[in-house]
Amino acid sequence: MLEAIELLGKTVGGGDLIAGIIEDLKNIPKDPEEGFYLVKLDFREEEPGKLRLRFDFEEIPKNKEQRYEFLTRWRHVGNASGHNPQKFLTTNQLHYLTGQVIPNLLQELSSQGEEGSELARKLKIIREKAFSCLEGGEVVLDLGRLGIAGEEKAEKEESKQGKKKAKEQAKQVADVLVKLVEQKLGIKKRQVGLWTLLFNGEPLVQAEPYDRVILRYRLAGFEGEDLVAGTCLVCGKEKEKVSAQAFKRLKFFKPYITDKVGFASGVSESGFIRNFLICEECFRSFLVVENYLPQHLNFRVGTLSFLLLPTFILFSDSPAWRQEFSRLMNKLTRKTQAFTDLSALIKGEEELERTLEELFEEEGIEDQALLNFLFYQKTQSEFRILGLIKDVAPSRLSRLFRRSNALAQEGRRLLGGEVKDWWIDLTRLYYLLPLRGRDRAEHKKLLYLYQGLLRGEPIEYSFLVKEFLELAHLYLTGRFEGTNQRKPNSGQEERALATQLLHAGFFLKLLREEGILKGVKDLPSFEPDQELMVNQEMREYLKSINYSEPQAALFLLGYLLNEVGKGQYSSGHQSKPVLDKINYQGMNWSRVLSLANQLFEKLRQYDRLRGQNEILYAEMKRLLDRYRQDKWPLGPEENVFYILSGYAYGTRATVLKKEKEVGE
Amino acid sequence: MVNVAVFDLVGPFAHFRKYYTNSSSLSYAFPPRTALMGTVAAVLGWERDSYYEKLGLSEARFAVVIKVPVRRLIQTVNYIRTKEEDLNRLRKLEAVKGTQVPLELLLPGGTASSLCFRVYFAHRDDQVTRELAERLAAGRSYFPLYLGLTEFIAQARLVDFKPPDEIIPAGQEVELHSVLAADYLRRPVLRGEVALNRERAPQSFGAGRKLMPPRSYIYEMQARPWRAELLIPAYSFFLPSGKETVAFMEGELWPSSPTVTAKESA
Repeated sequence: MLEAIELLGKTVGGGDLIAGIIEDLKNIPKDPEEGFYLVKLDFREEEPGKLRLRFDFEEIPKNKEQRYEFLTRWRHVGNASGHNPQKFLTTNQLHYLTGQVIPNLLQELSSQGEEGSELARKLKIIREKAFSCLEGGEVVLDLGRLGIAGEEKAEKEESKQGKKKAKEQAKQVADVLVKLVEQKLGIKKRQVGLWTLLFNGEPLVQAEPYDRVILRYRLAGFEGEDLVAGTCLVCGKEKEKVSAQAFKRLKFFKPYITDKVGFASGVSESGFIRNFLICEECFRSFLVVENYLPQHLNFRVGTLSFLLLPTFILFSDSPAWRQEFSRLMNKLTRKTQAFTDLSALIKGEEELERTLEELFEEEGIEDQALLNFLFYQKTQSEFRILGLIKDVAPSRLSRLFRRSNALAQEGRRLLGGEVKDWWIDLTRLYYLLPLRGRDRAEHKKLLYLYQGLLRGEPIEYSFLVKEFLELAHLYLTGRFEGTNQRKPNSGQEERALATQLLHAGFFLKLLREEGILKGVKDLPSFEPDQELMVNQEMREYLKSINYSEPQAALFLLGYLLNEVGKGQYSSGHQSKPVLDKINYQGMNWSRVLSLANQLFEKLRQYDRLRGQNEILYAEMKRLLDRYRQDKWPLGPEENVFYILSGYAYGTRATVLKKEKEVGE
Repeated sequence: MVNVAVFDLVGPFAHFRKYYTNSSSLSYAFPPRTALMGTVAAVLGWERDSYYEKLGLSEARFAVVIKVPVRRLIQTVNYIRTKEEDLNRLRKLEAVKGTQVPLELLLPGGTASSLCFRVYFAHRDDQVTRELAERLAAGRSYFPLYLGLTEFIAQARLVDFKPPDEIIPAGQEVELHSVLAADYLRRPVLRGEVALNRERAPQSFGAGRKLMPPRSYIYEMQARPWRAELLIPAYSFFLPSGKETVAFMEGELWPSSPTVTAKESA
């Protein structure tokens, strides 16, 4: 992992550190029509001894490259992390600018010996003429002094103490400014991406020595008494100054911390110098990489995030190799994106064809890198690693692509819809497991699945069947709250459940074909062509999914269950009471037999024992009866799963039929 | 040729923390050289902080073979929180908050019931190697052994004690069983099912227990031998379990023990 970071640092980190740590914006409106703006608060010396506040704005480009240029120009490096004092002049939090930024920045300039600088001079004028001092010595922007009427403060707030009070007041002032901006510029609060300060029309971020303030903040670990001469444990070189505390200024990627002495050698803060030291040059690379990672190598599956970190067994330091590396990274990230969520990447069938062609194209990339999927959770400043799926060969992704593509094509042929409806990717798998949001360990189930798939390791069949049953139960009871499942639109519940169960069937098929389905009994397959009297579509489906005889029997049972359900629905039931006969915890052989017998009665009751159904019932019974004497080979949970798979197939067929009728 | 003590380190769990992770602690797939130094010192009864020079890069040779494929599991564990504000309470032995740390554990993969790392050790002073071998053969480790964390108790079993049976000169293609320092690799020969990985791990300590520059190592993920051309000689040992070829983490073995040579010349 360290090598991947170092390699990325060497490649993406150029000479200009500020350009490397520019942060992108998160809340850009998706609506292309809606503008997104940087609002400039311009303090102007229009009258002697007084300042006036003028407002201006500039649109933030939506195009990524142009936006990056724009954000670099306005020096958007984010806010100070954790409890560190805020001192950046371009920020997304207006109350920082109306409160603590100017005094903090002046203090910083003073400590740097820059009291006489252009920036300090301008800031002092603003502080003296536009800010007021509170009782505790905190200063807050005073709109009254700028000739802007503010709202009266509530009395109870007067009793609040120092900093807290100052913060509250800074927020109140910010609220007034937001309203003014709305009135004067016609820009709503949600359209403001950033705020910045100007003095007499000149951006303060361009005044000397603002850039040095930024750098000093991020490189704070390389000042002070903690520095020692020693070996940088990243590059391995002897350096005059190496730091153990530099990591404190990392904002995103923090698998290493120095705020708990329990981690230090000898359980004392000075012991950190015996653990992990870094030189300034390597730390600069770290800063750039930790900014690059969330912007370029971050992927999301549902509520889970992961970083893609490549490893190279052999690499060189040459510029040509670095160029090659960038190209490889583009290709690898695109491949990973496609396997994370194909639907998000493509729109139509034509685009799918093109994307697949591009993804399948191999140029030796398969031998050059290994991919590490680092799943993490980021809460405030904590970076918690949830799991690391190591060393996935890009060729493994290609192989899974091919497999998934073949399955998806087959899905479309057998069950209609589009190819991408049947595609299996990480996002689809996320929705195939019912995960309780409140349980922090639930992600382990998903990571187990991903690890098996990506690394070709066995996945327990019984685990999957159990999860699929829980999923079906969740859909049938409609208790989606607190889970990872999306509530289907009203009236679409059955269709959604059927689709999920069919995906589950295809996923099992994929694992079986990959040879990584563990614990599945080796049952003899049979030829539905010769041995089963069912219609052509169903025969094709059974053949494709390669069900054994007992599985096919249950499939037919499930299909007939759907027929009864249809009968019940058309005879006025709001739900399908026949589904209550299924126990989602599992049904043993005798319960299955009992259900099969009851089904006959129900088919008759709802006038469904006609034509094809009668034949299907006979076929189902014939297959079941073969095992009357012998031991039934499937377990209780499997029984329910295969019944539900037939039910799902039946539901899908009904939906398609309806759609066809509407189309005609 | 100098004698080499070959022994197996066996245990159900392991965690060899990567030095650049602590808030979420990831593990190497094999004991890094620093852990092997500690293991040898523990068997011989050398006190903490007393052996860094004696087992330094010029004095000792280590090679390690991952004998059992490793499975990884991240388990969150509760540590005592040791932020600055907690220290006073801790000193007074008062209850303090905990902190949860995801810890990557190594477990035996496949059907194996224990992890097994085979260590090859040689010292410039043949007596040190001999004493280690004798202690291991008698099952008399001075301090208890563990695989990375004290909770993960380990056993060490002597496999053999002898000079290498065969030396394969640098540049020849070898079937390598051990972990290899990456800068000794001239060219991997990728045939069949091989999954190589590369890790940067510590190799030794300096004065004051400061880490010396780390080094990158290459290993096969599934504990399979892999073929490569090396820039250093490799050494084959005919062991009761079969032939194994290793490369030492520090490079070449000494042709003979310098101590012995000095005695002979005297």
